[in-house]
Amino acid sequence: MEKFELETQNLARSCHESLILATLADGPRHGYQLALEIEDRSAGTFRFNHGTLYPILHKLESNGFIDGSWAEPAGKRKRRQYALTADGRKHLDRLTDAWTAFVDSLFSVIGRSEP
Amino acid sequence: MSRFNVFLHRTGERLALPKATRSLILVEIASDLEELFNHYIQQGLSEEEAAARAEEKVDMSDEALIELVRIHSDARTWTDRIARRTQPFWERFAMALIVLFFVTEWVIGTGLKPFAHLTGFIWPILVIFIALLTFFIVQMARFSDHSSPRRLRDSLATPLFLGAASLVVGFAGAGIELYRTLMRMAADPEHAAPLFANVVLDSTATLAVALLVALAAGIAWFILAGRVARLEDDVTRRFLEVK
Repeated sequence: MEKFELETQNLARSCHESLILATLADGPRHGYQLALEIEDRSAGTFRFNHGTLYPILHKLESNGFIDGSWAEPAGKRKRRQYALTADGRKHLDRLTDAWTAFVDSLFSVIGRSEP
Repeated sequence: MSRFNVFLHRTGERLALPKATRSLILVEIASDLEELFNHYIQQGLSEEEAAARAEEKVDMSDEALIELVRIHSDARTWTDRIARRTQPFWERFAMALIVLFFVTEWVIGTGLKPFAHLTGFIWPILVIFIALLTFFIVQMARFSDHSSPRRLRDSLATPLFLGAASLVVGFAGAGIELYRTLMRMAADPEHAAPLFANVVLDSTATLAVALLVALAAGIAWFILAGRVARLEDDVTRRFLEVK
């Protein structure tokens, strides 16, 4: 697998992408579900404003990492649902490795305080 | 009337995108607004509070809107924009006239023997042409059997690839034939002049066929891309139920 490095100027974006892809790895979700679930799973650490969410989702989709489709449940309005693609799963693996390396590097500089 | 109409209208006005794309984004935002609203109602908020919280959560900054517009503008390449443009009758007529002129000029210019002077590289070019023709016929048939626009769009690169392949074979073939002839000219200087004349004649004729196949590939792409674009617009219109 090719080595992937995080852009330090763009950490927030990489973080958001990782969170979205990791959540979608558990199954397809709607935009609002993604935001609420990420907030819930991170105990409120990562609060997603949907305004930030849409550009990231649409960018991931245009890159082929996620696949958006429309569903129309009975009696409800049309909803857009996103699912992780095979390329997205690979990208998530790359991001996970990159984050691990990044955090290791960070702690090698700032040190890890003993409990 | 949705309780979020004002909010959606305001957001739509800030999205500088074609109507169909903008509408799809607004439908997505509207469904998320409704779901968030229901979520906050279940949490015990009043309708006014839930609506305000949902709008606050979904509200997009100018930067986010610019980013969204950029993403959707990038997705539409210049070739896509050309294909989406409705071709007036005179443009289609002029295109047909140019092709007819090229073919007629070539056939008459060769004394009605267009294939009299060709190199062996004509065979791969003909194979490319047959592949192009088969692809075009199959794709046109797929338009009538309700294939998905996405699958049809994914296959649009094929005629461009075949056209490029024809050009590569044509130019590479001319170069190789020229090299071979120069070797023969060096070995037999007495017949250098006719050998050179023949290679120029044969290679130019083969190259002309390669160019015509590339032109045909370009036209095939143009027709298919236009049909895919119209099909996508129809699908979007039906989806949004707008006229």
